[in-house]
Amino acid sequence: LNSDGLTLLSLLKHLDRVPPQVTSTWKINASEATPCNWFGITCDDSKNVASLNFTRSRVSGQLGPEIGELKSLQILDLSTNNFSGTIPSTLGNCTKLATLDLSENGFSDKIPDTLDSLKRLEVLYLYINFLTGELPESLFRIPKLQVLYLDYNNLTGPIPQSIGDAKELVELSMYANQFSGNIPESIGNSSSLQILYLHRNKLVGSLPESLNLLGNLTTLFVGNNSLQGPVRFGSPNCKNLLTLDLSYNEFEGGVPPALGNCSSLDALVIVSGNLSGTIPSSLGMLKNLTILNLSENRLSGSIPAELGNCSSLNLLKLNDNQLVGGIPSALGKLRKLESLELFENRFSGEIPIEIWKSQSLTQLLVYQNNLTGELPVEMTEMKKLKIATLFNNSFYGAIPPGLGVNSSLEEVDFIGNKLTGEIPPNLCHGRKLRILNLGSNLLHGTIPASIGHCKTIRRFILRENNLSGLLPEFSQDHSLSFLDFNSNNFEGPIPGSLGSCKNLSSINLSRNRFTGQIPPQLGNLQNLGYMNLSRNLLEGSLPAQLSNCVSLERFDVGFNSLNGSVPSNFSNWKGLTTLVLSENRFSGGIPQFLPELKKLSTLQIARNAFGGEIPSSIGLIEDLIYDLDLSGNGLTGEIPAKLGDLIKLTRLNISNNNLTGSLSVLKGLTSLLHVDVSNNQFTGPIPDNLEGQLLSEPSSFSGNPNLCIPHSFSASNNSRSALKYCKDQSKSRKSGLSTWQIVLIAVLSSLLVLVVVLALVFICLRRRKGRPEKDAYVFTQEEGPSLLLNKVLAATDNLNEKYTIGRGAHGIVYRASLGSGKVYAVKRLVFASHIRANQSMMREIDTIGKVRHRNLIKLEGFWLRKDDGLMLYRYMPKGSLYDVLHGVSPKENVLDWSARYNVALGVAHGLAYLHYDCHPPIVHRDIKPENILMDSDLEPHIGDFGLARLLDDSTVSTATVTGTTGYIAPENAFKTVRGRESDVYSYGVVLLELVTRKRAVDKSFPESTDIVSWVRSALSSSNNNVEDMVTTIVDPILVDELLDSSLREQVMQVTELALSCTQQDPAMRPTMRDAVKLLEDVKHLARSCSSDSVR
Amino acid sequence: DNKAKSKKRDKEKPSSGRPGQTNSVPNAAIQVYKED
Repeated sequence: LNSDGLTLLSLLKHLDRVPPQVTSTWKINASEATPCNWFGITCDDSKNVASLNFTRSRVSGQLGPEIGELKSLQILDLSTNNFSGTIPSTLGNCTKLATLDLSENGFSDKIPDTLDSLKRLEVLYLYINFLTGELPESLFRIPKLQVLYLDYNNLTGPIPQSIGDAKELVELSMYANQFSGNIPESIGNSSSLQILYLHRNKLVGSLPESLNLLGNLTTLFVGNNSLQGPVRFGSPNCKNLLTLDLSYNEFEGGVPPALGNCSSLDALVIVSGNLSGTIPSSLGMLKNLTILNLSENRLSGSIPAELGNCSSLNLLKLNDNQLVGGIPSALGKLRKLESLELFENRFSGEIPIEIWKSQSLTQLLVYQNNLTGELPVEMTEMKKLKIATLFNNSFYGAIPPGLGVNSSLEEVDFIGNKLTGEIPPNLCHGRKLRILNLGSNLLHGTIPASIGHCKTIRRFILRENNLSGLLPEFSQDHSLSFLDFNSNNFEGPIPGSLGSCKNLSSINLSRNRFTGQIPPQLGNLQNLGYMNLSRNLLEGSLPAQLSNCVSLERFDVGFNSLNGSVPSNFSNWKGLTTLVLSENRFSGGIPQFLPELKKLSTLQIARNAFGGEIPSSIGLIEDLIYDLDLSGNGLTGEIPAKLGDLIKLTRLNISNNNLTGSLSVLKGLTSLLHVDVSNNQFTGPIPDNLEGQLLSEPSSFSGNPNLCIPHSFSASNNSRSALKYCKDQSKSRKSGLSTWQIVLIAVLSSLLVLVVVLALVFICLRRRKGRPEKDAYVFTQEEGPSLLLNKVLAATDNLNEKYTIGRGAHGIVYRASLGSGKVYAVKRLVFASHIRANQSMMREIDTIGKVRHRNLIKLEGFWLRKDDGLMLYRYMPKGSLYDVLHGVSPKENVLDWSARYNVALGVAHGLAYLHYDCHPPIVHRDIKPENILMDSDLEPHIGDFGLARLLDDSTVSTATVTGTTGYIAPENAFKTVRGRESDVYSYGVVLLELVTRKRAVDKSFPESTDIVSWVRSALSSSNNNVEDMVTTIVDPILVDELLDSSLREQVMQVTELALSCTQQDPAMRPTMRDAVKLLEDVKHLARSCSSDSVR
Repeated sequence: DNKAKSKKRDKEKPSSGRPGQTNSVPNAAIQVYKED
């Protein structure tokens, strides 16, 4: 085999994976002296290797330095593989190279500075890699280089001055890197340049004037940098320029009139470039311009009529400026104009009739201006019109009745004008209408039946008009999602067919004249978050079916004539924040389920016929912040002491009831801004914290004859109040008991208490002695417990060893298959003799038993007896996260990144729930992959939560350190008391395991190193560059996926989160809510990156 | 044929800026009712 063949075999040793064609051909063969027939190889006439082409061959590994020995190599194409490591500097020895393509790989580190010796190199592709560092000056001294693509790397530093030496360079792509500094003036010497992509970097300074020298330039992109100064671009030299994008910079001054010289210009785009001044009329000379986008600047003045000469114009986008005056009628000459986007300016006057006559416009977006005039009948002839958003202007007159007949309208938004007349019947004629917003106008008449049948409408707003009549019936499988008809004169029943619009998330029918009952079909709306039927003439009771609207957040039926009691199954509305039932005829007691609505912040049930006492459980609604209005009912009794727990409440109205007792409970309500207790039977002094309220609104306390003002209140401030001052307490003390009487009473009371306690102890001891030892499980579930227990015991042959599926520190886990697909995991806990299954422990289990979250394993049931207990969970077929990550055969269960991300997010949700949504909060204290169980969809469920605490609380061994080595936060190494921060630390360790697929304490780590210190040392070896570090620690299985920059970013962010969670100082760690938010943000980021990606 | 080869990559698209929107006034917060 010749020397090139031997070199190739040396190169092969650096590769981890090659296609079978390589394996079969790249080997020493007695009959072959050359590698010329090997896969990917072509030879020159001297039988030396001239071309090595591995493009898209799924090769992974490194490019060995031996490549420099292939002296005859002309083409090296390794694009779109999984090469990693550095680009060898020996490539500079391949002096015959004409094409070098290493794009779409995982090459990292710097670009070698030896490439200028490639005197024949014409094409160099290095895009989409992980290259870092500064560009070597030598790169632009490759004498024949014509094409250089460096985009999508992490290259930093300035653009070398030597760029001007690249006289042959035609295409230069450097976008999506982190280049900084100025664009060198010398770029003007790179005279062959046609395409120049410098966007999405960190470039500063001004746009070099020398760019005007580049007479061959067709494409210039410098957007998304931080360029400043005036835009001095556009000279007679720019005749070849087709596309110019200067968007997202911080320029000074205006749009250069000289751009009118660029006569071939097809797209002129300067979005958000901080431009001021007027639009130069010279742009009217650009006959080839199809896109003119100067939106989101500070442009002023009016649109020059000359733009009407840009006869190729397809998109004119000038929104978000300070443009004034009328829209020039000359724009009507633009026969190819499809989108006219002038929204959010200060245009005035009428839209010229020439524009209404356009036969090309598909989008007319002129909202948020000062436009006026009637919508002319010509509008109905705009055959291509799809989107007409005219809202927040001053258009008046009737909407042309024929609108929609000749076009397939998709979005019609005329909100906030002065339109009169009726709703045209044919708006949905083309069956494409998604948005119909006609609110805040002066429309009258009824809703045409054809609109009710328009299944495509998603957003339908008619609020604040003078519309009347019956609502139309809505078709089955209607797309309607948002409906707002409030403040009209609609009448008749609310159509039950609204209940078939399954996507509805918001209904507002308030302030109309609807009659009849609330249709029970509305209970079908499981996505409904907002229902406002207030201020109508509705009667009857609240249908219990509404409890199925499980997404409801705000429910308002105030100011109707509804009656009956509130269905108890409304306790299903777990996300409800606002409940308004005021001004109806509801009766019965105040609903007992209210405390189950944990997110309730506003509760208004005023002016009904509710009776009885205020339930003390209202004090449990911790989020009740905005309003508690129970006024105008028939409530009796005292204010329950528990109400004093509502420390965040800002408004309380309990006026006009028959309440008695003192107001002392209100002392604790320190956030109160408004209170009204008037017209009750309260007695005693007004609490100190309400002095300000008494001063500003004395009537809030009136109508309570026995309420009094403490002497401590400022006398001059209380002159408006009709209340009397309280009697002097010091006087009353004098007329009370004498000192010896008080001493006598105290002594007698103490003796009495002692006797009662001794009697109770005696009774308890006797009972205990006489009680037989129980050996049966104590049933703790209300429904069918014994039956289920019997089934479980039968299914496990009385907990026979052969059904064991796991053993934990606290007990053994069995698999119980109950038939009909129901499979459970049964955990038997053996309590040490000193642990009692006492009442407090049962309460604890009861608390955990009520925990419900999709990422927490659900306790299906439990039974206790003296020395042991059984806990019943749903069986998790995939085992634990430990099994999936590190199990015997992890390859069968290999988790791709998205599955790992899902685990990270799920566990974060579960922990955030335990930490913040449970009362009292639950700290898990033993988060680790073994305790994260995976269902068949690989959704994680945290198991054993609270168990450690449960056991500790009832043990005497409080000195025991709980948790698992490798997961215990440093501050807890010798402590048992744990806060949420310790769970956050353990969670961070789990994240690191997800990224690396190493164990928390892995054999591969140096001695006495755990995963946290291992990752931190990798970080410091990478000079604190997370991206570099991630490439060294990441699970090799993920390497392929990480070629996708969006996923790479996601992995980096998750690793950073893990590092943050595992900080030494607990105070520096994020909360689990922070973690959830970050992960959600990363999800969003990854999505948007993917959509931006060129791949 | 071992001459230099450049390949066709998709041209970059210019920035599109903020798209037009429809009226997005959210649901009015449910009011704290006072006596009418």
